[in-house]
Amino acid sequence: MKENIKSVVVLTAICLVVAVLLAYTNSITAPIIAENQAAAANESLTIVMPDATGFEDLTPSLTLPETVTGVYKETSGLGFVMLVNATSDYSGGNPMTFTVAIDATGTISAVELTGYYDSKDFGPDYPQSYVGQNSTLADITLVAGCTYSSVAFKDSITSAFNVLIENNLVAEAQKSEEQLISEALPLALSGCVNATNIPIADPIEGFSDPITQAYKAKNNCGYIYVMNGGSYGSVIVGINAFGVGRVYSLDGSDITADCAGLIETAAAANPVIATANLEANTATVAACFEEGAVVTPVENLGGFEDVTAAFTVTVGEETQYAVITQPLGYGDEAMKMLTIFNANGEIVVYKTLTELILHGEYYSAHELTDEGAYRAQFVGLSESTYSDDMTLVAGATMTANAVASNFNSAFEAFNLIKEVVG
Amino acid sequence: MKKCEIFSKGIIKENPVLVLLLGTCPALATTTGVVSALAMGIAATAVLFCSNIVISMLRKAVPDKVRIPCYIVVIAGFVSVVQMLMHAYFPDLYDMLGVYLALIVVNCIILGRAEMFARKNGVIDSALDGLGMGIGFTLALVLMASFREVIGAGTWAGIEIPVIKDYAVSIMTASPGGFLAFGCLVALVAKITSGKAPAKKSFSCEGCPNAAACNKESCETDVKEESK
Repeated sequence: MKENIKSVVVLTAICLVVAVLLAYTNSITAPIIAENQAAAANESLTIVMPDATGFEDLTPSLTLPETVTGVYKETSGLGFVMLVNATSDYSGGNPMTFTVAIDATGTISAVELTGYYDSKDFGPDYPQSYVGQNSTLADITLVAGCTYSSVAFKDSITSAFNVLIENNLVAEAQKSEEQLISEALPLALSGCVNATNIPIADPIEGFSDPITQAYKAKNNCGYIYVMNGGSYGSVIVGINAFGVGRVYSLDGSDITADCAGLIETAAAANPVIATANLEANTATVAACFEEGAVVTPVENLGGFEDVTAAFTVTVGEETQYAVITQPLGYGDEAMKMLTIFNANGEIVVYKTLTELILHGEYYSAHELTDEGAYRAQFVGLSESTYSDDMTLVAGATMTANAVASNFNSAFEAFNLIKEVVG
Repeated sequence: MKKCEIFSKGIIKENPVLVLLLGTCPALATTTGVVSALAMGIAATAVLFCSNIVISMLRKAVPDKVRIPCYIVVIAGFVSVVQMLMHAYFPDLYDMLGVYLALIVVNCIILGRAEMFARKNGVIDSALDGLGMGIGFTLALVLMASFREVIGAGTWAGIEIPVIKDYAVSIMTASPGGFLAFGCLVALVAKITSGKAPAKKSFSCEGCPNAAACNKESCETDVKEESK
């Protein structure tokens, strides 16, 4: 007993003495370590702002988006240095990281890429193309073949600028009309916009006032027009595959109610896509039914997603609803799909009318070994039982996204058809 | 034992790395460069020297049943002090050594000398033993690092060596090179000492911290056979 007590006392005493020794050492070294770490952190900031005399860390006092991890103000007023990261579908869980210096006038003075993990490399010159740009990033072009990574990079720089602008640290630069138009284009016809928010559409020539620019969606879901909107200035008009339109002003407001005339003009400018492809689409739908089924096209269907045709099909006394979509998949290629619903909104047929997995999409060992089983899992689902998670295909994210887009558009179209035809 | 002999035995005759084969993990991990090896050696020497002194001072006060926890607390305390000082005053070396600096706590040499020597001897003898063993450890590390860095990178302590630089065998700075260098140096020391070292008694069951828990008879038999 006595020995046990002695053991406890001795061990406790040694622990206490050691603790005091450590506390004393820590009191001496902690400030020096903190100073060293601050100097090291400043050194990384000085790389992008070599003339800096010191930095004030604004990070704790600001509300930052996920893409901005640090904001430092140069103490003599040269500007700001921001630690930024960006994630794309090619990042594989590791965001690219970079340091951006923005001078007091709101112009990027240096960009230093500190970590790059994307499987597609946009090259060393791309980050440097941002030097000299203001918050409009007007002269920035994306890197062909590396769109996702370069869009992620650009979006992160934009979010860094937004932090400074929202906190009145730098003034926002005015965007040109051309830039405002390119940013508003995706609003009018969301069905032709890819995952990086770029409309995949071909320009059409030969129009006169009030149409100033015209585009046809590559996936046949409609047209986009830039038109002279009178007091609104330039406006963006989207006409879907059924000839139904909507209008947005350049500030992103929906002004459809005030612009019926513009929609009428735009709708008359080009053939209605669903009507132009009626024969082929009708045959595609009819092939899914026994002889005697009556396939009737739906007209004037609303919705601005990737629906390119819709039909009601009467088989005996039963009515079913067929929706053809063309969502954008791998490489922004349109993937044509057919979904047929029964009267209760349950999927009875799901067909891919083009190749499901486009060549080159797989980059890993994972593969969709049985496409038939993959498609069959959706049969019987309704809007309430379907989930986007069911579409996931390991190694083929773009295809999975396209399939999910198809079902979301098809469910929306089914509801609209029910409203139109009952 | 004479003071001079206590100090010098750790350098070659009972070199902790090349003869007693202790501290192999840091010896392999930190010997990719001479600078990191020297830093590790000095850090371990400082801990060994200080812990040997303190443990020797406490040898009569510490009850036998809690001696290992007491030694560990003392050693961990000194390692933490060295770590903090290095972080504050030599941040580059601190970054270079990384986790291996903290792992000095579990370095067999430190606890081994505390258990085998410091707890049975006076403060001055223990200090000399710690210093000698520390210098022996440092020399072994620097020797091994020199071997690896010169052949593997064509440099010594970061200084380029003409000609060799162009014919560097990079595997020597990788893990296999570490084992190769270690084996060669152990063989070299065995040759130099003509098989007279190691003194088996100093690291057999008598001085082993785990002696009470293991099969003493078979263990000692193994040691005897190996030393033959």
